[in-house]
Amino acid sequence: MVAQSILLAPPAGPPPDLSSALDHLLEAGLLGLAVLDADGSVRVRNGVLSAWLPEVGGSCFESPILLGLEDDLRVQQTDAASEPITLPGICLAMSGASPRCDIAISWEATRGHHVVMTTPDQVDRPIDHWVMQQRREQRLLEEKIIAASHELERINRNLRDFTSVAAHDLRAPLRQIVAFTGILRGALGPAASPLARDCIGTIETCAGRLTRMTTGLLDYARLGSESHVFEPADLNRVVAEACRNLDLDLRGCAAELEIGALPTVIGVPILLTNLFQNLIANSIRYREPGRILRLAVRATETSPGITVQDNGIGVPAEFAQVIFQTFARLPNGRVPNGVGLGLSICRRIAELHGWRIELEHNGAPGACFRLDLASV
Amino acid sequence: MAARKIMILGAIGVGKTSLANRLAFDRFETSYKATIGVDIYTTTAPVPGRPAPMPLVLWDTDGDFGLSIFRTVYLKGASGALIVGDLTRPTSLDQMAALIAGFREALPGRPCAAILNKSDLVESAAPGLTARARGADAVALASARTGQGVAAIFADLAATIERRSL
Repeated sequence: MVAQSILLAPPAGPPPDLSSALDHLLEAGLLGLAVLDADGSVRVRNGVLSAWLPEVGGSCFESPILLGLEDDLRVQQTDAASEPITLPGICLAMSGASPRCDIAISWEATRGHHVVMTTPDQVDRPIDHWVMQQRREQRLLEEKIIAASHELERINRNLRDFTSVAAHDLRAPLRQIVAFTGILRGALGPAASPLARDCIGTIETCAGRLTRMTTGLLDYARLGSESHVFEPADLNRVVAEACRNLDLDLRGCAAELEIGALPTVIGVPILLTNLFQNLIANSIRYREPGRILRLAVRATETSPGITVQDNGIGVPAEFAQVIFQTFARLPNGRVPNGVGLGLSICRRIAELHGWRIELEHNGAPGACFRLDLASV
Repeated sequence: MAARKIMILGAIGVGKTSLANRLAFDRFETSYKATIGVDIYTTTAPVPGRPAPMPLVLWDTDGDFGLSIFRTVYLKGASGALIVGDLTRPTSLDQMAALIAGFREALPGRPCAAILNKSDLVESAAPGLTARARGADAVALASARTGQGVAAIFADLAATIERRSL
C-alpha cells in the first residue's frame, strides 16, 4: 500500500533531464555512444568507451573489433526484424589500458544509421574477474591432476607387468642353470678339482639367490595386479600359520616365541600370512649370532596395531625408511640370504589393507616393527 | 593490404593467450591468467611473394566457450583459425579435434592450423599424436614458451589465406 501511494503521488519539481543524465554517463566512462552511417563510416562518437572506433569520418571496419562484420551490418540494414549485434566481453589487448567492454550495434531504420553502444563488461569488475579466473584455474588444476594420476596409473601398470613378465621369464633359464650345474657336479664327481668345485658352488649359490629374487619379484608384482577377497581374518591363526611355514628355521635357531592375544581384522588371510611370515623370517635372518632369538608378536594397547619385536641386530635409525624399499638391505654384509624384498612386500600388503607399517624405536634391543591397523 | 581475422581456439589452459603474446609481442608471460571473454591482438605475418607482411587481427578466445564458440558472433568474418591443444593434457587434444571439425563445418574453405603446444614440456611426442589434428590444413608441435614452431605455422596459415584470397 505504501509503495502504491508513492507511485501515485505527483512528481515533485520538473521532470529529470535525460540528456544531462546521458552526458553524466558518457563523462563517467560508464557508456560509449557512436553513430555509424550505412556504409560504416563513423558519424559521431562520444565517451571514452567509444575510443575503440576510428575518428569521425573513418570506417568502423578499421577497428579490429568490427573487422569481418561488414556483412552482418548490411543484413541489419535490410532486415527489419534483425536483432542488435552484440559482442560481449571484448578487450583490445594491444592497448593495455582499454577496459573489457560489451558492445551492441543496432540499426535505426527511420534515421538510416547504426547506433553503437559500449558499456563496461559485466565481469570486468576486479573481484568478479578474479573469482572467475580462480575457478577456472582450479578446474584446470583438477584436470591436470586427473591426467597425471591416469598417467601414473598407466606407468605403474606397465611397471608391474614388466616386473611380472621379467621375473617369470627369468626363471626358465635360471632353472636350466641350476639343473645343468647339478648335472655338471654329478658328471665331474669326486674327480672334480678344488677350483671346479668352488666354481660350481659359486654358480649354485648365485643361482639360488637369483631364484629367490625372481620369486620375490613375482610375489611383489602379483600383489598389485591380482584382485583380493577381503574377509574376517583371525590374526592368531594367521601368525600361527606363518610360524608353521617357518617351523624348520625357527627350530634351527631355537627361537623362543611369544604370541599375545591378537585381534580379528578384515583382510586377505593369505597375504597377512605372507606379511607376518616375512617379518618373522626377517627376525630369523637378522638375529644376533650366539644369542637365542626371542620373538614377540603382540597387540598394541594404545591404538589398534600389532608389534613384532625381536632381540636381533636391530636396524639403525637412519635406515628406518630405506629398509621398506625394494631390494634394500642393511649394509652390514653379515647376512647373505636376504634379497631385499621381504619388507617391501610387507609394506605393500599393509597398504593394500589401508594400514601402515613402520619401524618403532622403543629403546629395546633388536628390531620392532609396528603394524598400524587404523586406516591411513 | 586489408587485415585478416584469425581465431585462436582451444580448451582452457592450452596456451592460446601465450601463443597470441608470442605472435604479437614475441614474449612469454610465466603467470597464468584465464582469459574471460575475447582478447584482440594485431600483428603481421610475412607472405611469400609479397613485399609487405599481411596485417592480422588475432581473436584470442575464452577456452570455456568450447564448441559453443561456433554459435557466437565472434567467428564472423574470420579468415582462418589456430586451433590449439596441450601435449601434456590428452583431453585438450580431444577438444582440439572437435574444434577442428566444428571450424571446418562453420567456415568451410577457411584454413585452420593445429598447434600441439607445450612441446618443451614433453621429451618426445607420442607417435600418431599429430593424427589427432586430422582435418587441419597444417599441424605443428610448438612451444609458446620457447617460440619453437610458432612463427612457422603462423606464416604457413597466412600464406594459405593469401593463396585462397580469403
